[in-house]
Amino acid sequence: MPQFNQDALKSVRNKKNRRNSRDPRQRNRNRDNMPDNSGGNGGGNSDGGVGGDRVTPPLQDQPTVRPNSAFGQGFDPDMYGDLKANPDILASQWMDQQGIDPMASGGMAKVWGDLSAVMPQLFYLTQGLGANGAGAGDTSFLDYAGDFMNQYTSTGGGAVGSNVLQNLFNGPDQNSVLGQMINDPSQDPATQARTVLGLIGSGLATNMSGASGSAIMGRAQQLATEWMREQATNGANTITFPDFLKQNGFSEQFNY
Amino acid sequence: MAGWTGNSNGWGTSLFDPASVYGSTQYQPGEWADTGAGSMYLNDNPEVAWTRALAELGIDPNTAQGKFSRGQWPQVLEGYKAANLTNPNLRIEDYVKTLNPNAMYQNQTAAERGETPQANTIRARTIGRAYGAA
Repeated sequence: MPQFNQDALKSVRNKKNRRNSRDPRQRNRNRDNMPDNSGGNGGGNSDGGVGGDRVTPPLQDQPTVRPNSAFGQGFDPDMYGDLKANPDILASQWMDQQGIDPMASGGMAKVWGDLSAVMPQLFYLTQGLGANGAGAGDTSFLDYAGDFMNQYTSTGGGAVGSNVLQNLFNGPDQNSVLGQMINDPSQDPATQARTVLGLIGSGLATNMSGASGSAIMGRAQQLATEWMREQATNGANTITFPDFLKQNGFSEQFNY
Repeated sequence: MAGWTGNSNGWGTSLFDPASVYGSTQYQPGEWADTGAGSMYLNDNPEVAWTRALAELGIDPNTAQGKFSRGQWPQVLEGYKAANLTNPNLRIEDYVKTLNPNAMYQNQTAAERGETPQANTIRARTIGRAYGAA
């Protein structure tokens, strides 16, 4: 039986655990041991290195503006990007602040999951219309997330306007985050369709009954298949998926 | 929004008491049910809206009327789905508030309600014979 160097194995395992850890302190500890190849951007912020296989944005791309809300300011700036990709952490943090135990109620747990899942897409739909993607930064997303959870848990509040999907079909500024998301010719048609379908699903999830939402999503998915077939036969990017939906009368049901 | 009252007249509480906080220190009765998150919960569990609506009307689930009303749930859900086709934004909590469970019960005969009042009464023929014999 081959003999392993147990100490070396433990060291590798510890490094891997630290690298994969959600705890920013653990990750910082890991990065501190890595060579700094940030190109002289150090100073004022210890987050200058590239640690292992984790892609860290260059320092100038790190959000420098703190969120406005007390909720948003409760997070480590190093985590902003991660939180946008994992909004369930934000929901969990919000519940913790409210003294709500997510494990205590099985039925509500699904609602928390649904709410956190649609947060980023609703953020893009409702706020991503500004020029150059104004309002779509990581920091403002944290403010939005706290506000969103507060609204959805306030008496008489929380309904996303049923016309929120109008934004999707209303020709958003091509420079905005939403505009870039729904019209990205560099992505394959399946990915483009999936992005738009995700936005539609999120827009429906919080303001429409499950049966109506499912029926609309079913139609959208059907049209996505047709659009992808057309892309395959007529050449890619002849028409954007949102425009195709509009052309087929899909957007009319959102009072557009 | 449905506007759950959280009111209770003391009846209809053997399964669910609309006036109880059930140990919550943060929310008053009816408050949470009126939030967007509560609405999403009702969307996932629509039968709960019917239970709450009946309880707020003081219809105890363990009475004859309560049992009849609870038995109406499949029809209520069907009615909601039909109405949903008219208004896709109609929520179950708003739909059940448009119904009148008391009228639904009272407009039926005992037999239609599934009750058998004659089961425990003396047959009329028996009464006649008894009186005739005297």
